[in-house]
Amino acid sequence: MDPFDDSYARVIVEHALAVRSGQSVLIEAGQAAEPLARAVHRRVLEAGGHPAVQLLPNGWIEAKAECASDAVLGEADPLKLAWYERVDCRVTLLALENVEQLAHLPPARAAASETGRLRAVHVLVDRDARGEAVWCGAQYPTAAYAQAAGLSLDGYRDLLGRALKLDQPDPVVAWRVQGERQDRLIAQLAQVDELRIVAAGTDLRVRVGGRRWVSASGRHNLPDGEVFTGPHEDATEGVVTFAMPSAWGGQRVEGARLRFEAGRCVEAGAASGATFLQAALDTDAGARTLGEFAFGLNEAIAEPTLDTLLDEKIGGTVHMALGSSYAVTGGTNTSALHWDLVCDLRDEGEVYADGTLIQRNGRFLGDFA
Amino acid sequence: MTDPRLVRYAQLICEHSLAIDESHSLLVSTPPAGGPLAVATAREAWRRGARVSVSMAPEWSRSDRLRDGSDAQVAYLDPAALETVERFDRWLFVWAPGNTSELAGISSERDAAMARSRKPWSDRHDERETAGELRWVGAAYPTALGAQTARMGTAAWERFVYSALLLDEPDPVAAWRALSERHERLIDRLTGVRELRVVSDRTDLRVNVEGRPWESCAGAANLPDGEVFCCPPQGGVEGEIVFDVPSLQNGRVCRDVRLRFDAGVVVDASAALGEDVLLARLDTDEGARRAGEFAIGTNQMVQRAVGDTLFDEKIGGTCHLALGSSFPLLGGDNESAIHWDLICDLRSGGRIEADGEPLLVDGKLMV
Repeated sequence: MDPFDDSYARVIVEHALAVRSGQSVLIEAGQAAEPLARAVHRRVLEAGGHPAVQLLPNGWIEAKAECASDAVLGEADPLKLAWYERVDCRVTLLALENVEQLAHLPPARAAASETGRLRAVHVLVDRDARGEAVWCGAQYPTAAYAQAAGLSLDGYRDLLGRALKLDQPDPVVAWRVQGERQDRLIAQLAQVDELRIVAAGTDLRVRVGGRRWVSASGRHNLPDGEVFTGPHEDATEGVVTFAMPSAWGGQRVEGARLRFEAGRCVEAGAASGATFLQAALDTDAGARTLGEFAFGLNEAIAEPTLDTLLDEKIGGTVHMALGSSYAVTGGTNTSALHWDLVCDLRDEGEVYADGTLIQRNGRFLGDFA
Repeated sequence: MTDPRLVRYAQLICEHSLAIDESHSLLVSTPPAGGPLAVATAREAWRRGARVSVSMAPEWSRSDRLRDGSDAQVAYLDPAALETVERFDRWLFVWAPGNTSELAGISSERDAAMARSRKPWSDRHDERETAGELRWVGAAYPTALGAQTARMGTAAWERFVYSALLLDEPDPVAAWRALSERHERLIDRLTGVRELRVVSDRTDLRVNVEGRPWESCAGAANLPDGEVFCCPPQGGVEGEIVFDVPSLQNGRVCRDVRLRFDAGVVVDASAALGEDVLLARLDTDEGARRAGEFAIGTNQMVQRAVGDTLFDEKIGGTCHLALGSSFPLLGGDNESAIHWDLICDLRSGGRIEADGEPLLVDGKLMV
């Protein structure tokens, strides 16, 4: 077996899902990730679990977004629901063969496709919050991701391997250490009421006092490395510019600029993809409010790959999501949308906590370091 | 680009086999090799307004579990898998053969234990089907390994399979409906017949079919298809028959299986090749020595045996007889763990007589 796959499988089964004997484990995977799916399947068997594998056929998502009725496209997949309502653990191995598979479609169709996916995922997220299930999404190196990141497949695989800590002597231990560092940061952030982000085109205030900060250190996302919370729904004020491109439901937006008043986005523009940005904001009533605010803390990821899962983890960035909040943070915003937008603070960026500078040029200062 | 034959195949499945509309939820169950047919069929079903989900499990998910799993892991049936039976009313099983030796070295006892664990699933599936709540079709998809089993090139096998599916016809759905009408005429002729006599070079067999309902198979549950069959009563088979179309059993070939029936029971059996396999299967249980089905193959686009029963039993101008279990819905009362279709070629010098009148001569139906 490929050592990359086997090492990755160990992180998934031992660290992310922490599979125990007798647990049922659903392994979902893009067809390209079949080798990793098999490695995970073997490790689950070794752990005494009950693995089931469901591959996603190449072309399925695109075909559905093209052919399904609006109603069917926007609802949860009934097979996924049957599983998500029952399994103890579920991992999805993300392995797109074309990251632009929905780019030719009307934005509303792409958005409906993502809405339908999230409707099923929410069942798992809710069960996870109640301690009934564990879910994880894990990125697998494909030529599509490599091309989007401007890298060779080998180059992308190396980057992903570092971001996953597979280059460390014991990746599972390395993730535990990352988690401890994040816990120390959270101890400081828990005392903060207002965060102010200042950078080129950005001066934004979010209120986080009384909300819970959550450490993401390889349980739900792989790669991982962030701490996040759900900001007060009515308090976000100011302007934020996201220089990094961002994709949602297969549609890309570059240079998005949002202005908030009393928690709601009242003005939005973008260098490209403005139409889709507007469509996303009009998804529903909650789509104009931030559901998440987070610091990226993975130092092994330096360059944007045009893939939110990785970009939002870049050490020295913050990201915020339009749409639904995670109940665990105390956030109360609901929406079919959850769209992460990343703001790079490594070049002349500053973060203030209740007026005190705690991060400059992407580096935490003082007690926050 | 999607192979245009696949688009026609998908239309055939959705229109003719499953009659899919916006009220339905279709589950496509396929191995990875069948992905293109799964996606093509889903496109057609989505266009008809249906919900469509896919369950694509690789072969190794079964073989690794059988090889490395504990007894408890082998015998585990996930409650979610059981629940899926309740949530879908249309099922497509894509039959896209992989490596027929994937389970080599695994004890058949473990395989049987896994099969037993699936019984609540298949029982519930059957129950819903019988209640008219659920329809399913199994559809062949040509793969390189399927071609290898048929001892053909991959592209040649694709042509063979699509031809057998009547996809070369101008309107495949109309072609299957036409076959269905031919079946109805044949069944009209067979209804009221007391005894069929199969005569060929080394065959002279009498099958009592009096009062037994005949079933038409014209693409509703199998693709390709093309046969009419009934379940003879226990004790209703007399004489001798040689099945000259080879039968592949778990990687072993049985050739020229010869059976002699006395009062419905096999009393003498031999085979030119694979006789040990034959004798072992006859000893499976009491019902394994009795016929559970007698059928006439009617697909004129299948004209050569390829070692896959799904195709071979449909060859126009053959008949087949199954040792083992029968179909209770058709009055069959033979029970067995096996259902083994054995095929007799009647295309050169063979005939079937219906109460003494010629019904099929040299493979051609006289209806």
